Amino acid sequence: MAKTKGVLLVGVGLLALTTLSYLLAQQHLGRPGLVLALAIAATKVGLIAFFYMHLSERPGGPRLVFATSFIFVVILVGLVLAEASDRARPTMPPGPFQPLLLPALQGAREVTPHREPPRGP
Amino acid sequence: MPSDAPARPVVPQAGHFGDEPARQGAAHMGMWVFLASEVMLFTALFTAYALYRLAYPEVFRLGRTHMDVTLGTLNTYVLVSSSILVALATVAVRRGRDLMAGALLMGAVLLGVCFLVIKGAEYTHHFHDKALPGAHYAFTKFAIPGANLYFTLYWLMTGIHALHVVVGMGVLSVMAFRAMGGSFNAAYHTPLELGGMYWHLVDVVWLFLWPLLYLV
Repeated sequence: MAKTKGVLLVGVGLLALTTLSYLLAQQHLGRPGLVLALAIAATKVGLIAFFYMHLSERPGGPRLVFATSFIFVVILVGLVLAEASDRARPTMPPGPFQPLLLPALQGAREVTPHREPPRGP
Repeated sequence: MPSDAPARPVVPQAGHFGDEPARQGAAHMGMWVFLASEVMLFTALFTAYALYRLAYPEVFRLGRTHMDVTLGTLNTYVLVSSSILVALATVAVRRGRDLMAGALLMGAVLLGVCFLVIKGAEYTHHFHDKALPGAHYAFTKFAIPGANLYFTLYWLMTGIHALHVVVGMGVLSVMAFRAMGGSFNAAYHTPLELGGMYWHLVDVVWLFLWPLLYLV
């Protein structure tokens, strides 16, 4: 019975953290809000991995794989972001995705923001 | 949970491989390596998201205003609840309550169906708005450079995730029928644990998709 209670307790924690994420998002906190939302998601993943995916019962190999995966994710996302944020702005890809170039958006010119040409003196 | 009780091996052909706890440990280790490869698949998508969010911060901030936050949040509760049911099913089968385990797993499958129905409703809405991926993007209310990248990533990430939901529902259904058919007992239930871990991974991926696409 204790095991069932433990599962339910973790479940209540997961649902409570989900509600917390939602409520924080309503506050429109900007960049700190993004960091907070990801931290809450990581906490929930920790709870699921440790208690629902049996890491609490299996020290050794599985925990090593879990930790290695996490480190690889951080390395991949982190290095890409570090390189891209250090790049000179003009070298960032503008994308071949300008809406006016898309065939499906030919009729949408009027709602697309555009710059007025500079006026002469 | 390793058990000292004599039991059949995780797979019938593995009788020559160590004792039962060793076989269970190897099965769990193999499953974790497989799940790690799945994590790498989604990491590539999350990396693309991070790069384009860096390039178009305002677009990605505005993108969520075109999403149905209520449906996205409802789907989060649905998936988390299904994970709780799967964890309870594992506890039940360890106590020898096969029918209860099967019923809990079928409950999780039903919640998976709910998730896909809600996701389908969202997709239909985006389809009518013409907020489609790639060059098919024609959502006039959000027609700024980079907007179609947001929706391309949205369709790609949630689409691949939905595919995993479908596979997970299949795995859980098989486990439910096997549990109700008496294939598992207190000493032998490793396949159910591994199938449950796959479902939990599906939940884990959504726990990151939800805030990034709907909340912040």
